[in-house]
Formats: sequence, C-alpha cells, structure tokens
Amino acid sequence: MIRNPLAALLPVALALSGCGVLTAKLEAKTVCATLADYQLPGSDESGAIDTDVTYDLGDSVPIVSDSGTAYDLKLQSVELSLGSDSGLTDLGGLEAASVGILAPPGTALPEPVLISYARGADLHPTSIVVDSPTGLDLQPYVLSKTVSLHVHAAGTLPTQPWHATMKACFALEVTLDYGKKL
Amino acid sequence: MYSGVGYGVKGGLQLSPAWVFAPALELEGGWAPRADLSLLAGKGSVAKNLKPVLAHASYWFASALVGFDLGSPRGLSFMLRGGLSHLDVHAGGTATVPGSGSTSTVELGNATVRATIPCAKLGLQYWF
Repeated sequence: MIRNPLAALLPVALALSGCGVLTAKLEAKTVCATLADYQLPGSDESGAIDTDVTYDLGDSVPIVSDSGTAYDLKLQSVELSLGSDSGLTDLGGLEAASVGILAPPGTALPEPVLISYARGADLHPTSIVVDSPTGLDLQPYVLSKTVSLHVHAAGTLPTQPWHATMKACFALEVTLDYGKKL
Repeated sequence: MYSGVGYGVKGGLQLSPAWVFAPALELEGGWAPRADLSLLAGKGSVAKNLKPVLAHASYWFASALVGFDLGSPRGLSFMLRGGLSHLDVHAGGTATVPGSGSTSTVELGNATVRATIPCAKLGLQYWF
C-alpha cells in the first residue's frame, strides 16, 4: 500500500509516453558462410593471386534482403582450409594475403582491406584463420543478399587452379525501433 | 512457474490501495534457464533450420505495469494491467543450414534478442 498510488504510477506513465523505448535488437554472433571446394585461380607470373569471392547470405539470413531494416554486418574472420582434393598438400606457399571488401557497382564506396595475413611460425599449415580487426559495417556493401570480397595472395602458389574451402564469419546486429511506427 | 515455453522463476511487487476500484502499480521479473522457442522456427523471417537452436534458449524479463483492480480487496477482484516489458532471450547454439547461390552452407547461432515491448495482463485474483 502507498499513500498516493497515482504518484507512483507517474514514472511508468512517462515511460509509456516515450515511443522510442519500444525497440528490439537482435545480435547474431555467428553467421558463417562457407564456400566448399571453391576453385581459386592459378598464380600469375609474380606468384600472386587476385580473385573476387562472393558470399550469398540469401535465404539463410533474410534480414539482409529487407531494404527497410537497418542492420550492422561486420566481418569477423576468414578461414581458408585445404581438403583432400585441393591439389595442394599445405598452404606453406602462401606468404601473405589480404582481404578487402568490394563496393557494389555504381557506388563510390571505399574498398578498404579488412584482413591482412602474413605467414607465421607454422610453415606448413593446412588451415588458416585470420580475424578482422576493422569492425567496418558492411551493410552498404550488401548487394542482392551477397557480400563480395577481394582476395590478394602472394608467395609461391600453384600456377594451376586449385581448390580450398573458404569460410567467412560475420556478426549481425539488427535494431528495430517499432515505436516510431506508432 | 511454467510460461508455456519453459520452466523458470518469477517474482513481483504490487502496490495498490484497498479500495473496491483501486489503481495498481506492479513490478515483476522472471528467469527461465531453459526455454523451447522452436515454435518460432519457420515463422516470419526466422529460418526453419534454426529449430534446434531455438529449442535450447533461455530468457529473463522485467515488467512494469499499471492498471486497476475492481472488486473486493479482501476477496475476489478483477485486474487489468498494461505496461512495458524488457525481454532478453539468448540462444547459444548454432545450426548449419543450406546456403544459396555459390554458398554451400551458412552456420547461424549464438544469438541474443533484446526487446522492450508492450505487455498486458488480464485476470481474476483472490485476496485472503
């Protein structure tokens, strides 16, 4: 019991009057898209490889195709791993690599490097995972539910096409302010 | 308590005068360490393949409601409340779903949903 119940109701009434408080936020810390047995091109005369890799988040992450919803999509890591049919025994020839984001055609967005890799102590890895430190929001770069990355690799790489599994992991955060619609 | 999707604990505080028609303020909160939200899979924009992830969720909530009680403060009364709830749902598992286009598979999970949403309660209560 309280002496003046109406006074106690005031904070709640104020909260109700502020439509901006009606929000919902979804955070998915694991959104990993895998390209299994992906064919990479052979290296050029300088031993380098340049290729574009497109990840289709499509029906698995419907929110990225909803143009009316704001979201943050950030690249967390990229993993390159060999399988039994890769045509390579290990990735020791990969001395350095970088992964950048590709801007959709017709846009003037910058195309920064999101991941850089330099070969470490393991000279014969069969799998490489590199984290992305940038935290760049990739939403402006999503085109038709896809995200395209440019991979540049240098070292002693095969001159013939080879195969690897390429996995890119993203973090997705969606905020809905449905109070604005009231 | 059983909330319809899992077992948990719930507690609250209600303030209202002992009148036949009395305004009421109610604060409550609850926690369910294991909730089966798989019924959401395949609905709206939630992928059907997320069913195993949603089946092992947990949540907590806190609500603030205002309303009134109508009836005997020492017996049966009718109650109506409206207010806001803050809901925090966590689904820590992952599921691998078929990809589209050139993508072979997509692994989804480790998700948290935080929402502030309107809520309402309607019921009968008996004071003794």
